[in-house]
Amino acid sequence: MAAAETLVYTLLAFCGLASTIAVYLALTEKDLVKAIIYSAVQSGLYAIAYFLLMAPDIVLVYLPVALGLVPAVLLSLISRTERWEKE
Amino acid sequence: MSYEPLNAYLLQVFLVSLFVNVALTLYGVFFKPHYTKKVISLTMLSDTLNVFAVFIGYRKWTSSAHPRPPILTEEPSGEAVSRFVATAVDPLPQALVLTAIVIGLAVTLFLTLLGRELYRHYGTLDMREVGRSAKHA
Amino acid sequence: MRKVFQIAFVIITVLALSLLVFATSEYLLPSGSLRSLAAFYLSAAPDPLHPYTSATPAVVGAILWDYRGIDTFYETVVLYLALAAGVVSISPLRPREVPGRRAGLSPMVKAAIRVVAPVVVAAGLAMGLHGSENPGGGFHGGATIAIAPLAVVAAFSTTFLLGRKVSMQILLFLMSLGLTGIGVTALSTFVAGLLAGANSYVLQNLPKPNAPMGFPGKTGWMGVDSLLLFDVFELLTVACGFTLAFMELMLQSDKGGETR
Repeated sequence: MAAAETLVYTLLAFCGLASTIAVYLALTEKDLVKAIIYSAVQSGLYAIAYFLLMAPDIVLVYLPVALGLVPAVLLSLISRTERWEKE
Repeated sequence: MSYEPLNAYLLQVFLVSLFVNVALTLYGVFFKPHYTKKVISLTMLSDTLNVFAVFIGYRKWTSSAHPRPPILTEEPSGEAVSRFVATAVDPLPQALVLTAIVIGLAVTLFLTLLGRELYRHYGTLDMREVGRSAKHA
Repeated sequence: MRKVFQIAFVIITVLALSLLVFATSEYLLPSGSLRSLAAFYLSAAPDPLHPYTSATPAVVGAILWDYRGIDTFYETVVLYLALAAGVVSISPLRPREVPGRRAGLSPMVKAAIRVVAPVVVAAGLAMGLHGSENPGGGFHGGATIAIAPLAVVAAFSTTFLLGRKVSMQILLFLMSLGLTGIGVTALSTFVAGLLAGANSYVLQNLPKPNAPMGFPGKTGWMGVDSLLLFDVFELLTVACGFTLAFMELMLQSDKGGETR
């Protein structure tokens, strides 16, 4: 059982590290469509983290909301306003 | 805590990455001038804090089994319920995080509608130029 | 090359900070014992012999609708108010003309969405209506159902739903109906107690030790308890609310134009 516990914690640590990379890339990206895609990648990694933390109710809410509804709403905002961020 | 050092270190990596996310997204909310970038950073900030809340409710592995989700999968007899209480994770942070996700989505929707009105009124979403033209208006 | 360097810098910073935190914090790591409130919820909700039971194996759903029903009720109200405020104050509910057959993406995408969208709606209904036994519930089902109009609007055109007579007024009416249903279910035990002269509470599910009125529960008449009714009305509210929000967001004009 010790190896399974270490595997779960390794996956959690990997999700944390990869989500930090995705957050940094989303912050420094000038094209806002790519920034939204990076934030969707970060949400997907957080969904894996919720699954590893034994919260199935939250996974079932988080997947449609953060991977479907929020990018759609933000993309509609971009399509009506500006797409590129100035310096 | 009688953790092995490797398990403790991996959990610390996860915690520190959450804190770094909070710091980066706070920087994005305050110091990035574009409105849409601020809204994206705000959604990422609230998501990170929700993961931290669910992590607080997690449970240590006993020598026999991993912690279970808070759903009872057997017939509710007396010993099944006591086994359930001994191995399930905390259900209260999960209920609170569900409410927080819904309210965060409502706030994002409202901020999007406000952003469109801002663009219609000022012609730009760069908050520095909005501040300048609002001051000189 | 510069970006690779920046990514490597972030990784090394996080690993070094975690080594620093590893030496100091021990109270953030998970412990082996539960808090007393969590132990109460875990032992009360699934056990039908406990005096404060809610007779459901899904403890998170029971906390959401039975033990802490006020929080969920006001969460639904917040969602309703955000959508209603946006719709009423920012854009009028005015319908637009229906487009022709050439609008939207290619016919292959349209054929695929014609198959996928009803399956998504069915999956959302299954997830939402079984919320008192499995992981799920009203909000999960409603959010999943709201993905289907999004795919339809993306594949066909922004006014396709209006052409099928799904107007914004109908969606607002259904959303208000769902919220009224939630309010009526919350007050129903209380009103029944008033009429029968017995003690009862608002948002009460099953009979409690000093309040003998309650819903029939899983073994009673048609297995109705307040969690099922709440799930149905919350599903209706959330699905119609998000569809209304998408139609509201998509139906504006192009960049910066006056569209009133």
